Amino acid sequence: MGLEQLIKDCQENSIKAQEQLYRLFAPKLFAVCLKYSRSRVDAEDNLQDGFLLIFKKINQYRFEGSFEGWAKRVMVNNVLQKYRTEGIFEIVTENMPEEAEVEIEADDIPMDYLMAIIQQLPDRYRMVFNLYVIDGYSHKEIASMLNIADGTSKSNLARARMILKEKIETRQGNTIPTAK
Amino acid sequence: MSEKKNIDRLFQEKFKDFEENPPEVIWDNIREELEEKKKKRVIPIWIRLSGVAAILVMGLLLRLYFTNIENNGTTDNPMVIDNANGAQGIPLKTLPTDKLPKNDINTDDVYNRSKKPTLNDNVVVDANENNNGFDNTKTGKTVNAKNKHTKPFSTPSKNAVVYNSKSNKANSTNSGSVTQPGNAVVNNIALPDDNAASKNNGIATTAKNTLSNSGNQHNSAVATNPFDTSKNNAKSNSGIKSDISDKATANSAVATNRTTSSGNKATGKAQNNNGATLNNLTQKNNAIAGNAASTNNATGTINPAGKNNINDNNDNSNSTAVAAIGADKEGQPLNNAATPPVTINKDIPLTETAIAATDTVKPENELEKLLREKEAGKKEEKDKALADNAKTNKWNVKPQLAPVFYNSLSQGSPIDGQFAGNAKSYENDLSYGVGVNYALTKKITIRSGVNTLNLNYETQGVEFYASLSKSTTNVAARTNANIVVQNQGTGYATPNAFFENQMPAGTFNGSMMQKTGYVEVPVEMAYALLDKKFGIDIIGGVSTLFLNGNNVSVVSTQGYTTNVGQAQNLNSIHFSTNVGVGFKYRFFKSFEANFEPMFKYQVNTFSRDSGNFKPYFIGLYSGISFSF
Repeated sequence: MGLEQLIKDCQENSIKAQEQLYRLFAPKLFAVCLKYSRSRVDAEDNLQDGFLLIFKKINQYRFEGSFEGWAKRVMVNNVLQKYRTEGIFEIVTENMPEEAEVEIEADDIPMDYLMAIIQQLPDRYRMVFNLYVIDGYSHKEIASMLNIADGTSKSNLARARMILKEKIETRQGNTIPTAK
Repeated sequence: MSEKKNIDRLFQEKFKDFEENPPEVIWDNIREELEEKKKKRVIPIWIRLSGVAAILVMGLLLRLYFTNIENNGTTDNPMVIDNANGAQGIPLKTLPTDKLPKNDINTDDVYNRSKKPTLNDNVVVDANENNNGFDNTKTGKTVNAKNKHTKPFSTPSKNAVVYNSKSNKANSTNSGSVTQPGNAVVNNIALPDDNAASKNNGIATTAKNTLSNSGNQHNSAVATNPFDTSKNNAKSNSGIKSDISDKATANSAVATNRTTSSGNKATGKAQNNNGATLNNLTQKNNAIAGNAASTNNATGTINPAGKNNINDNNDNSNSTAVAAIGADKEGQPLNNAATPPVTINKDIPLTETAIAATDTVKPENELEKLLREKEAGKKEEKDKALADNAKTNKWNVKPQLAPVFYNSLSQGSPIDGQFAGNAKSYENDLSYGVGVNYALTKKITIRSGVNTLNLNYETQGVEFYASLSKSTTNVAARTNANIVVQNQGTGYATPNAFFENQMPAGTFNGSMMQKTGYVEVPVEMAYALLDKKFGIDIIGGVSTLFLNGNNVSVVSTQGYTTNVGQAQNLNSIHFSTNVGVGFKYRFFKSFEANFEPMFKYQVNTFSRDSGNFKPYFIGLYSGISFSF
């Protein structure tokens, strides 16, 4: 059964199709949730809610563009929405000089660690960093998604980069003290 | 080992193909929610239906209620409805206008017997140049003012507070707000209160509807343009201001009446010298009474009658009250009807000095009540409009389909009495056709149409054999061998039984199937018990059934079927009497879904030897009708 048929069945509310769809996309979407959420537990919650949203809105999917992209957007929006309602984005805006690039010593940093430091970022930094760096949104798009100014997005990104860099370097400092 | 790297790229690479399997429990949760959602979906439908049912019941009750009122009301032209205290249920009387001089304003007398609490405060003010003698008569509690145009005067479009100056002297000019002794001054302050206005409209409409049905069928139209009508009145009655004050809207509406003077000279022609009105309230009653008095005057005098429930702040302790004075240009005496309400603290005789300012405050409860009623009224109106809309479509065509359940009221067999006691099984069939309805009136519909109908039944426990010499009773003989059907165990009743007995294999046990087919042409009448978006009809009538299928066959226990022939005792035309109930739901402007369980009792089906067989059938006719 092709993906298209599967989606159609989901639109008919077939529970079997929904399960198949879930099996197919859960790993990828869970990854999305992990990096956008504050913790693994949060990510699981978000995944669950996000999938429910996907099944609810699947009738709106018009078979234009990849389903995966659509599902990811729904998932990300769900997380954004959630944090927005929690009022988390109200952090003080700081003006950071925008640094185009942050260079770090890139040795073999485990995935877990990267994920952990991303999750530890303040919510909005995390959102901006994910949206911009990993998912390729522009500052303009991010600004409208988060309802913040362009500049805020940029400075948040710079701040996020700095924090991540520090954490990575700290770790490297700890584990490989001499590595330079 | 380590190299400088852009942090962005580091994360991009790491996360690019990152996937992680979520714990299984998540899917379980999702599934649970999904399934729950499916279940939940069913519930709202019932909730909605029960809501609809509740509304229907309410609508029906209201309708009945209003109908009653309508029947009571005997006036042709109900102009104004003033109810002082709805809650109190004080019946209002209206003044006969015979005595009144004529004015541009025609006031018709309306008897309001409605006990319904409606808040209509109407103030009618007449200004006439000359105010001469006034007849102040106590009148029934309500006065209706009518317009020439027969539009209801009383529809409250605005909230007006009316001051009636107590004493009317000769006035050369009436300034709206001036209350000079000797002058009848009418101040009409229109407080346009949208909310209030709308409220009042709603209320007014309900009241009207009740009244208007008797008088005008177009009431609804009137009700909706209350504003215009009042304007018109004002214009046409130059010099007459009509004010409608709504207390209801203000929640606490205050009407102050000051006034009533017996001797008024009205000088200003355009201006109003007389204000009639009043709404007052006794705080006890909480009710607001606004009564406008009206009279038919060819010449243009209005008698406003007002009721006052007054709390007196005035010096005049004696008089309370009320009254509206109309002055005639022509110098005709006016009839002022002052109605002391029951709830009045004091009765004020209409004397030159009279009166009282009354402030009324409505208590919340009253308002809520009114609001509720108003809403109910609106709904009623809406339904009515909808129904009216449908009314305009007199014709209605309906393809229909009905499962038909055939049966007999008594044992018996149309073929032969000997089968009367046999078990019979009746087949359920499908009837289909087209129905045509024509709406004679709002309530009564004539229905006809054409349906096909197959009525089959099986007589069990028979045996049959072939014979050249005999044939089955009531079945046409054929030129070749006949099949003789008889009860099991009867044996061969033929003269040459001996011969036939040689062939015992010649008899078969089995059942006999009689099939009849008809074209049914019903002529029925339907009476609408409920005619809204959802409707209920009672249906009765007759059908003419034309025979177009007639066959008797036998089926052996082995399943072999043999044709026996045609029954000879079936009338080619027979009838049925029909009764049923129709349910309809208008889901679109001209489309209705129908469901009509009908019981049809057949009459004169058989010409002879029906063996006390009394067939009937029940059809569950359903279809979608289109009206035009």
